[in-house]
Amino acid sequence: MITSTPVQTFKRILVILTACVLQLTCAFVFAADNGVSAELHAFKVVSGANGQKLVATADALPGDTIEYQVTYRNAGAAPARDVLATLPVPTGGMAYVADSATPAKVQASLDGKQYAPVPLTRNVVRDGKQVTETVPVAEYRFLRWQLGELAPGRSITVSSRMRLDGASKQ
Amino acid sequence: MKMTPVQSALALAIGLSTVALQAGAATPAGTSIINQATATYIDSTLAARSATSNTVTTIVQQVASVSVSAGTSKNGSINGQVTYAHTITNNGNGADTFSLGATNTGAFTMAGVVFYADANGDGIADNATAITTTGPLQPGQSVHVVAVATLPASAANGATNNLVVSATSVFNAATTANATDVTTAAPASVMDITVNSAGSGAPGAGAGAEANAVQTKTTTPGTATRFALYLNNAGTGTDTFNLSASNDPNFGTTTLPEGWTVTFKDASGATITSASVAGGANTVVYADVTPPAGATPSTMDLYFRAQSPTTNVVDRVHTAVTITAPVGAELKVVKTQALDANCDGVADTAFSADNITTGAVPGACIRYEITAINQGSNAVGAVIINDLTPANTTYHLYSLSTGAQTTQGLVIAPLPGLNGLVQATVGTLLPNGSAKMSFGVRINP
Repeated sequence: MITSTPVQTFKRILVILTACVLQLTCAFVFAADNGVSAELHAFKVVSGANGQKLVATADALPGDTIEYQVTYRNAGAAPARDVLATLPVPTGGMAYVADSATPAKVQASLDGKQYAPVPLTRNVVRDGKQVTETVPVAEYRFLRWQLGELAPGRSITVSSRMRLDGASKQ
Repeated sequence: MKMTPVQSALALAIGLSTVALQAGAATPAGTSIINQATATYIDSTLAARSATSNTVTTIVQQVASVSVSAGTSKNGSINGQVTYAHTITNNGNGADTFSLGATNTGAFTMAGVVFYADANGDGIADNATAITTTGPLQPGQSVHVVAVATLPASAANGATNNLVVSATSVFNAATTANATDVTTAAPASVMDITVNSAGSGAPGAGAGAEANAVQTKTTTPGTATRFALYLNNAGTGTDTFNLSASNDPNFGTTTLPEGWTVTFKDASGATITSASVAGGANTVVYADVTPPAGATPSTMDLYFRAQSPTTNVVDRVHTAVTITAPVGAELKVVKTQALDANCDGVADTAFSADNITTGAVPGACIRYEITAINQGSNAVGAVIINDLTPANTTYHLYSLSTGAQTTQGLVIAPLPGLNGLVQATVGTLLPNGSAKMSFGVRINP
């Protein structure tokens, strides 16, 4: 029989934690532990004769629009309250497509710390006068939804579209 | 607008940051765009919890995009070459190579089109090594090339060729860009001499010698006058033109009338006999024309010619030189005579400077006419014509109307039968103006 000391147990937990941080699947581990899971999918928005359709994709061309969908599911036995769902606008040329968030009532942030309802505004000094201007959506780096309570066994999906920068030097 | 505390804080945070995001080139091919969603919530034990999704990775794919700088228009001559410079730019988001191509449309087809590298973009091929592609270009990178095309011998003057230069992506052959260069066939050498200025509106523009002088210079005997001749070569190549002058519009001879000299000089003042003129350019030369020292006031037509000994391309221009009397010698005085045998105050013959050889017998009369002419280019004032009754004669007055007369001013004369001064106070004579004094004498019996 193998016995373990408290120190060994602690080390073991530490190794597991480190592995979890390094492994992508750790999200599910936590999710399972915490009751709420999050599942992210990316789709390419393809325009066709019958309107737009979504095609699961792992690649994109400059100018393409990608729709990210996140499904949050409460697999636990108790309700999850004050659920705040955060979807980053990934770096590498992606920009939030205005008014594409679902649910539409969404907050945005430029730094992941300060959130405000869209559209974001800011005060700038122009010609010696302080004016309030709208922040270009291309500068949004994070989206956040205040989803409230998620009952056991229920799920909710949020989504938003991002456009890959297609600007080229002409 | 009333802001929530969060908005205010955000506004403050943004206000401190002046970094703006720049819309740049397309995201490079191969870029991994990674996304991961999260959620926070509060569980039944009031503990703060979080959930993190799987990551989703999107790989940016390559797109090809290329541009070719705009074409230009040039003249070219048969069997000659035209060179067109172009800049090829990779506007795609990945490294790409572009193949170079050229197609012809128009009234003639280029005998050959070859591309060469032109690293410094000066429009001149770097070397004699032909290229068919740009070589690899990074996103946003440009390369300069030149397309050198040879005109066929069949190209008719004035005919045009459209040379479409294209750059096609090797990554995606459906991506291509092009530009059109227009070549107009033109003679290698075309001469048009103009005077005083260059160009199609200048005096003497057009082929051949003009019917009338396009410029007339005024000078005095023995004094040089200068014509500025512009040799305009509307052709495509450099040619050398021999210079000559003649008073014959057809240049049957280039020997000028006796005593006349024409010396051609370049802009530096050096004496020349020919001038080199680049295609599409002009060269100014000067013709210093000197009439003979003893030349009488008159106007002479003078033609200048520039003729290439190699291509025989030629043009002439018509000028003229007017000789005026020098200052202080403007006035010319001519005396003529005629017999008036019956002394009726009317000349029996036409007036002439020749001797009277018959009829001038004692008792007969002689009529005189003295004409003063202003041959200068300015008015001369206080002109007085003087003459004396010759020896062996006396002033003769048949009637008042046949006595001493002048066409301008007042005249005085001796009393009839006496000798002395006959004088006309003429006053001012304008250029080319003249006054004539006339009187009669009787040969002493």
